[in-house]
Amino acid sequence: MSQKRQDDDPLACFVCNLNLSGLTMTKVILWLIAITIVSFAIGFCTMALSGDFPLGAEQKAGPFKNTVLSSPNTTTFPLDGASSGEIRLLLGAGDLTVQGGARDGQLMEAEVFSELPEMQPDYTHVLNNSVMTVSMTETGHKKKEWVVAHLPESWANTWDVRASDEIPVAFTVMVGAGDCELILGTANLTSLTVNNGIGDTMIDLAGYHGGRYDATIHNGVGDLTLRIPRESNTRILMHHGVGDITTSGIVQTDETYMTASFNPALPVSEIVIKQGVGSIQLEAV
Amino acid sequence: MLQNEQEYIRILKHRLEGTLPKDELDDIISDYSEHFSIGKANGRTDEELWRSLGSPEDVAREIRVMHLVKKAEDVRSCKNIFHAVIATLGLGLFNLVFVLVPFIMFLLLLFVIFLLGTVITLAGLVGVVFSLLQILGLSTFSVWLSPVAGVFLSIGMISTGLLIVIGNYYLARFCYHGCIRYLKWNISVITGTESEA
Repeated sequence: MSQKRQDDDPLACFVCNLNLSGLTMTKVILWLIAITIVSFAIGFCTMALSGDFPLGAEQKAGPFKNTVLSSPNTTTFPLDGASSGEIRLLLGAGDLTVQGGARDGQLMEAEVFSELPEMQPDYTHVLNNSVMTVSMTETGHKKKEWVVAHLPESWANTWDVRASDEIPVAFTVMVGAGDCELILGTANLTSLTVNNGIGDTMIDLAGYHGGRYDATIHNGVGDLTLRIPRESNTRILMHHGVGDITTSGIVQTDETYMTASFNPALPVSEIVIKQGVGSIQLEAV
Repeated sequence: MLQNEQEYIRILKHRLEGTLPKDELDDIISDYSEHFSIGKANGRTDEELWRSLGSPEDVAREIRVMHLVKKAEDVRSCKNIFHAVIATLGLGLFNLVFVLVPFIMFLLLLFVIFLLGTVITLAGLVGVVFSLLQILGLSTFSVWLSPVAGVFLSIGMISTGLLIVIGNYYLARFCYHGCIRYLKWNISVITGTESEA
């Protein structure tokens, strides 16, 4: 009875006809080689027939689409005659690098490396009383983009921002989770506000020769490195939770740290650090 | 410590118990007892015979190594070859360099090749899924220039990965045999039986 049922079942007959017991390792290998050759041949022929092959000069990622990672999206904002600037950066999750060295006549140049087109940030720029304000905000903060912002692909989100060295600039940098690196030795700061939720923060002001500034640095969980010029007149007020503090070339008085040549009678650059968990490294170089 | 036949046999037996099967151990003990009996019949003392045989600890170590290498040769398994290698290390400190280092390097090589094959296979599987999702019009998974080509290229990746894994298996077998031969040669050099072998 059961034999009859099996004979009636076409799938069972097909499996029986495969004769898997006669499948030796040599046959398996030969089959795999054949499948490999045929699959790649059909794959590349299909690409050729659909016009995707041979690859153009701009296509360097083989049969894969160029991800935004290999071709960053660059946006520039000209000075437009502004005498000072304000740059506000809001990144939910990802890595951020901010440095000076924008080309002449540009307030900001932003390169965004993200695998998702939906993760391209929103930009606004306003010129008001010769102050140019540029905002760069991750779209993941918008309600409709919430799902995209929480896909794993959105984690590989990297912003590389270059700011003008020509005019004084106020920076406001907010990062939810990710590493944050600010190399602003060539910039001219009016103020600096950095807020990093989770991740390491590195602020390098080595070689800074701009005007005095006030800075506030909030670092939730992660290590913080702050590098300031040895000859600058800088005072650092420290509020830290858990973690070691190491200093180099800095004089400490209670919770206040100063450069060795600190003179309160001169214009003072004041930095307030509020650190939750993580080590802090202060260097005067 | 008394250097007599009973002490020699006791140490030898104690060192080899648990490693050798009982009948094999009995044979070895019987051989050494016989060696002592013949020697004494020829007028030699226990101390002379002890010195001529070498210390029972060294003899036990050599017998144990040879047994484990033979076992690894007869029954191929990771456990057996591992035990054989570890036992060979006991023959001399320099075997850390001449046995352990090459052994670990081969293991690493095999592991890396296996990992490579597995990653390519898994990438192929993911590629097939992404191609199908791309064909269904889900732009988030749009990684291939041509999703149809992506299906075939992914299948090619899967079969390539499997070929690497299978090739790694044969390479491992080859390395296993090579390792056994090397261990035997190493033992023969250390125990001074190279020319006899």
